[in-house]
Order: sequence, then C-alpha cells, then structure tokens
Amino acid sequence: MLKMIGITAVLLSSVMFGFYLTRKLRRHIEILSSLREIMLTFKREISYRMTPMSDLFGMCSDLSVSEFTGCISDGLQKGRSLGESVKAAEENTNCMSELTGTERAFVLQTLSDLGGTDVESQISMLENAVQTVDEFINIAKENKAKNSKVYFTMSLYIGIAIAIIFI
Amino acid sequence: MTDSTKYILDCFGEKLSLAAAPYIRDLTEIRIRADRPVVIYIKNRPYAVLSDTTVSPLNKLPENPLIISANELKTAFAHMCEYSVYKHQNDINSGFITVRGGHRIGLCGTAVILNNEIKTVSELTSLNIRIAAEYLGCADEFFKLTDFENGVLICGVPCSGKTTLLRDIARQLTVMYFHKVSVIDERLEISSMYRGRTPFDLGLSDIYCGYPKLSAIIQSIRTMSPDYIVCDELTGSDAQGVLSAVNFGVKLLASVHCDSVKNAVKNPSIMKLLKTGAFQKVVFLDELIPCKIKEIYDPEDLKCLK
Repeated sequence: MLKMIGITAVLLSSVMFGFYLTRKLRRHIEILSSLREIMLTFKREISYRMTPMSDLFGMCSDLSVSEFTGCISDGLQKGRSLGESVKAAEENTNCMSELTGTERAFVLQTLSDLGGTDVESQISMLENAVQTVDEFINIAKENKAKNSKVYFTMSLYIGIAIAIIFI
Repeated sequence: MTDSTKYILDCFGEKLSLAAAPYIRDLTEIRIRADRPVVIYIKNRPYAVLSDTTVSPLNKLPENPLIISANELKTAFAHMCEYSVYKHQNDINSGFITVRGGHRIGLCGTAVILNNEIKTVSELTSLNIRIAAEYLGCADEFFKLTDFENGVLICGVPCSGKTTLLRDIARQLTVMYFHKVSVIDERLEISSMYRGRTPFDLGLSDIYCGYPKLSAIIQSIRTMSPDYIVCDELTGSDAQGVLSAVNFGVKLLASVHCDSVKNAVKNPSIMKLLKTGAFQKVVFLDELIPCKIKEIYDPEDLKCLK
C-alpha cells in the first residue's frame, strides 16, 4: 500500500513538473501577447484621444502585465522619468523575467522611448514595435509547439523511471 | 504651486533643483538655452545658476555656469510633458505649452514647415519657463477704480500681471459679486487646466478651455447665459466675437498686449476692439509692479488721441 502511494506521489509530482514547464512556455506567450495588446491600445489611444502616458499605463489593468504597467504609471504620477519608472517596474515586478534577454531589452527600450515625439512618430514607432513583438510571439509559439510535448513526456518518463527504481 | 515648480526644476537635474530651491517661492522665470548658462529670474531679476549649485546676479557671464546640453534639454522637455509630447503638438506648433501647475513654457528651436504651416519644432534650443502665480485679492484695486459693470480692456506688457489680474477678477465677480462668468481660455493661460482641474481659484466661473475665442464666446452666450465674459490676449481678429457679446448684452473683461497709451492708439487691433463698443474703460498696468493699475482711460479719449 505504501509503495502504491509512493509511486503515485512520484508520478504526480513529475507530471506536475511537466505541466509547470509547459505553463512557463504558455506564460511567456501570454506576456508577449499582453505587451502586443498594450502597444495596440497605446496606438489607438494616442491617435484618437491623445491620452497622457501615465493614464495609458494605468489603463492596462485587465492584462497579465498589469502589475508591471501599474508600477510604471505610479512612477510617472510621482514625477519620475519614464526610463526610471520602467526600470523600477522591471525590478519590482516579475513579469519581465519570463521573457528572453533580447525580448526584455527590446520591450524596456521601446517603453522608455515612448512619448517623446508627435502623434505620427509615436504611431509608426508603435507599429514597428508590434511587428517585432509579433515575431517574438511566433518564435515563442514554435518553441512551445516543439517543447511542451517533450517536457510533458520527459517528466512523465522520469517519474515512471524513478517509480521503477524504488520498486 | 511650489510642488509643480519643484517638479519642473527636477526635470533638469539635481543641480538646478538644488540651486533654485531656496528661491522657489520667488521664481518668476527659468530660461534654459542648450549648451548655454542657465538663468533664473527671482522676483523678475536675472540670476545665473552656477555649477556649484549657487546663483549669482547676472551682471556678467559667470565663469562656472551650470550648462544644460541639447540632449538634456530634449529629455527634460519630454519629462515636463510627462512623456506625452504628442498631446501638446498643437501648442508646440504655436510656440508654447502649459504643464502641470499651470506654468507656461515658451519654445524656441527649428521649425519644420509643411504646406506653409509649422508641422512641428525640432531641435529645441531654448525654453522659457514662466512660473504661474496666483495673488488672491490682486483685483481689489481694479474693482475699486473701474466701472466694471461695463466692459473693461486691460492693457499691459508681458509679465505685468494681466492674466493674474483676470483670474482674480473672474474669482471675485463670482464669489463676491455673484455674477455668472464665463472664462474663455483658448491657450490655457488663465485656468491652466490640467486633467480637468485648475490649480487656481476661479470661483464659480464656467471655463472654456482650448476653444477658439469666437466659438467659445458664441457657445457661452447660447448655453451658459453669462453676465460677464473674461478672456485673455484679444487681437483684432477677435472683434467679431466681441461684437457678438456686445449684441447679446454680455459684458467683456479682456486683456491685450500693449505698453502705453501712445502705442495703443497706433495699434489697429486695439482700435478695432474699442470700436465694437464693448469696452467702457481701458486700463493700463504698471510695467514694474505686477497687477498694479497705472492709468485708466475712456475709449473716447484714446480715439481723440489718435
């Protein structure tokens, strides 16, 4: 009986680990998609309503990076520069840690450069950023398709192997 | 008001902030020129800011001035616009923006022209930050000396306190004389409206922000039934709006740029405004003491002088 419980525990934890790894890949795509959504919202708001930057960052409360954007909005409202606010948000929240080094550098640089020019320049800047984020999303999706099954199966097999060794 | 002034100073870095901090309540202007010494005006007197975070009266160019680079100026400008430069584009094309606290920033740089119109200003080289002030009660003298029951035109040089005076006139008219007042604030100078709130006390005035003067006057007359319309910096082209107000029996309290009676009679815009019959008094402000009335004339006297 004890052996059965042990085997079930080992198998469950290995399956959970597999889920955790695939979830990380999903979360990665989710964050990139939220950033894309943010950029499109910014583009729309800037072109039609000229919403101020601190309000723009405060508007993204329903997205998975809301903690990060909320932190930037707070920083701007406290009178900090955009660069400082973005940096502080990166340090104080963990959204950006899910991204790769290149993705993180691009996103942080893009956000820090916002708001310094006229409407047309802002829109073209955001359109270019959306294109780049699209490329990141495609790569992340390919990566997920390639790896999620591998992670899940591998962790299951490792679990079975451990269980067999214990028996 | 000092918080917003501090915010502006902070945008230019710690040194300027430290140097100006002891005088923050008396600051009237901050002049930043790219790669040139920073000059601040304390009670309308110029002082150079030194790199050791002190200030010295501007008798000669200092040896160790605080210098703001073109790049720092550009970054500070974006910071003062709260990273929403796009929101101020029309104002930038008109040469100034109004920021948090109602301070007005005059801009100087290279104009980008498209179809004979200024599309934007690139390469900012100079900023003139005029610190907004509010002196409650500065219009007491105005109410004592003028027949404000009829229209009054206030003339003065820049920094003579025209806008500050109009602000207090609007406030007193609504809270002390209980009149209905519409403030027409095309360039956000009177109310300095920021995110739907004004940092100044304008009493119970109805404030039209950013509307062209003519549209605002007509809309105000039709919808807000004002007893008085207060507006800043009229020009000859606003005469039609002024005339509309006169025809509807609304009194106008307005200001124009002009330094003396001599120049007023030579100024076709002022004479055009006076011809509308909207103004029963013309008030000239003192050049040295802000909001102080120097002379009061009847429009007829000016017409005779002409």
